[in-house]
Amino acid sequence: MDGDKMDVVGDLKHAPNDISPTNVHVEVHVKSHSTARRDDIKTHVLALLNRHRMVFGDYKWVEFDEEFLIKHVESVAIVDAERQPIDLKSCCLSIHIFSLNDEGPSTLNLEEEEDLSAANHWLLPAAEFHGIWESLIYEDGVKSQLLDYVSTTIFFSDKNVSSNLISWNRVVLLHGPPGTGKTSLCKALAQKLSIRLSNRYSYGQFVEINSHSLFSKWFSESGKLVTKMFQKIQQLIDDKEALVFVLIDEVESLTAARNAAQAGTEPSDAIRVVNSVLTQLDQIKRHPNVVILTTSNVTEKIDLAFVDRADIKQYIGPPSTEAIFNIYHSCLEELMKCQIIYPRQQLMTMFELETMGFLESNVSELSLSLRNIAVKSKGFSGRALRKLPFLAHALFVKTPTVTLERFMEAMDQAVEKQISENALLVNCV
Amino acid sequence: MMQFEREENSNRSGETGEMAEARVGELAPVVEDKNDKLEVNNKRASHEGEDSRNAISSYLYRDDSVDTEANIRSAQDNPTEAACKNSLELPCGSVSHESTPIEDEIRAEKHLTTGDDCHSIKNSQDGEENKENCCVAVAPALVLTGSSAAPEEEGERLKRSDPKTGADGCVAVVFPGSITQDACCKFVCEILKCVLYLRQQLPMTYDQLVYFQKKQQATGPGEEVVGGRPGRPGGWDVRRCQRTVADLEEVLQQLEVLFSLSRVPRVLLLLGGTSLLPKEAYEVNLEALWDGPPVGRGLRTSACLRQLFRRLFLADFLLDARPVRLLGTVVMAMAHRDCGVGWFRPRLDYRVPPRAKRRVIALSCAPGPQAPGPQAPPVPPGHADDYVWFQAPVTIKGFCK
Repeated sequence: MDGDKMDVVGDLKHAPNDISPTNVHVEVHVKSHSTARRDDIKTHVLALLNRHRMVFGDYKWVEFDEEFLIKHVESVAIVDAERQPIDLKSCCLSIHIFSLNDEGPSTLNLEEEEDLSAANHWLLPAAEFHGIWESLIYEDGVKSQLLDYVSTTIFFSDKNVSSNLISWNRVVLLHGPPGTGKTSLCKALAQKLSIRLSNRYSYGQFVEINSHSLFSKWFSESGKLVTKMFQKIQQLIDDKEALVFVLIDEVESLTAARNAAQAGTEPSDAIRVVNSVLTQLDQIKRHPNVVILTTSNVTEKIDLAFVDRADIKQYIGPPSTEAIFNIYHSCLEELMKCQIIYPRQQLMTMFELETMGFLESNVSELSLSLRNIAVKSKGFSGRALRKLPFLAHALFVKTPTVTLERFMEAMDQAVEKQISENALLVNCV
Repeated sequence: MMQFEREENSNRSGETGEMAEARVGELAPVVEDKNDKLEVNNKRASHEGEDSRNAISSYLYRDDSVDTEANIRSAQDNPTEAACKNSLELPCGSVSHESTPIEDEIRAEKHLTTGDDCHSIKNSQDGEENKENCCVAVAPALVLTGSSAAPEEEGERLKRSDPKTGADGCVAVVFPGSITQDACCKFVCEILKCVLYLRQQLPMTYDQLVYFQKKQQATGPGEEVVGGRPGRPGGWDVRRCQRTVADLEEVLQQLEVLFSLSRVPRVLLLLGGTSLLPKEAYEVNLEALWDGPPVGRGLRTSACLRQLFRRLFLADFLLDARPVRLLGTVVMAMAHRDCGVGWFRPRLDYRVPPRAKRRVIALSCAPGPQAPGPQAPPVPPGHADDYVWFQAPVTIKGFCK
């Protein structure tokens, strides 16, 4: 199954029959103005990989010594690999070549005279979503599970598994507290899959539904609006070359629990919306090239029939200490790249710290103090963590350039301020 | 319109002297008279929109018929041209022989084209004049079929009888000779302008817009900014107008550059939606032009443009009665992968949207009188997959009053 599945996921250069060749994904980001043939690019990338046989975990080349690659390729990256030395010779290489669409979102309108757009629509891989996948840090397995889920749905569709006997609904529900990156994860997942499956589907489409636009001012019209929306999506799906992702953000607004309506607090029109969504989902699931991604903060408000339809109900919790450390690490790297923190200093990764056994030394001092800040900020949401360096700079630095030590002090202060603010907020309530 | 008439006259300036004189004599009063009316109508058009479009068209229609009547007469005067006429087939083979005014018109037109051919070698060096042929009034002239029922029916018949019109909404235009690359570019640009106007993305034709804008700039910016709000002389947003005109101008210029760098087998004009799911799609297919006689001394651009647009009207190509919202227009063109164009963005994976309502203008050329023997067709360099889609990075946003 593994081998077959890999065939689905990427095009492979099979290594000589090893016992279990590990599959390595190589993403080749082609410059947007390049018109080079994909085959030529592939040959050149393979040559490059031949020259660099051994890699340790994920690695990204952005500078090349070959004319062709300099001209056409932005980056070559080995992604989602395990943290161990990889011998590229003995691996299956899946090479995914893509370039980004820098068009912004376009809007889908349901009614001609309506100005409010019912959905935003991106062409994948979109420049806007680039880099989100890497920036999202979760416990091991969350991201790869989601990838595997979609790969399996496509694999099952390919094998013509009867959906009457084994059914899957193509619905993913991500839930959890606010600010944990559920929506971003949906976008990143769509982007990732459109890259991974680029040799199978020529492009990806990402449709983000504005759920509030599906409620009509006319009584009993809302259900029809939902149907109209799904008809639009159906048009996209009908193109077999496209892989379509539908994101319903804050899905509880479309699928509010119907039993609440029995208390008389909901108009019956809202029930029609839920019914309409459920029936439409059932219709859409027979198409092999669609995935429905939904997010929610308040799962208890969601209709049970919908929750039941979701194949994966992934809880996305607040980040762990290690994740917080990684988030801070990436933030500081970015600030050093932009020379706001100057001079550049080497920060160790959590993995390197672990291998050193958290021993204090000259080299690890800064990294250890960053880890302390990370421990202190346990319980913050991902969104809060990402804005913390900004707050630290705004409130406690106030100079154009700053050393790394000084900036970490500022971050420490900012964390304390956040904690005290949160405490006050709780007291008020 | 004035320019149009003059152009007509100037086109034939290469014909025998007394003939041209006679034509001018015939047309002169008509031109004078109609000109005034048309100007009035144009002004009305910018205020009233749809209805006055038809009003213009009725004038234009009359215009044309008068003009072609004159042409027929003059053609009969000239025996050599009459011979040319007989030797030429109509693009649509199975048109019946009973003589309707429209057919006469087409024949006359056809014949005129060949008449032009006879001296086009002379004139083709005269690049300046060819550039002058920018067909200022072609776009409004297109509305002519909308005005009367008879031509419409005729158009339907032509569309059906044409062997090349296989799919719904495909119009084939066969030119009686070779077409230069410059001319191809001109066709595409004119079709773009025309589509934008007739699909109600512009309140008046592009050339009129440019003219108005120039006039406005000439009158000075005094009235323009009053209290921070953009001035709205004539009832429409100057800033949007300027932006649209600037965008369109850029696209037109860059199309010229693209055509000079590479052969362009296909051009897509996508209105609304996204490039993969547009609301309306128009395709100009130039592929067949390659199989024609070798490029070098082409037909006169202006004559071909007239033939092209006449064909489009008769086929009722752009007249869709349904009102359209303001949309963004994206221009896509197929060109050689290594042509080195910088402005257009390559879209290697792009495929023409299969489900959208698409209308195709297929241009091709038959071996004309100037290329009698069968000559080796120029084989396009490289393989078919060397040609990839390029997308203009600018979306032309429609605007109205």
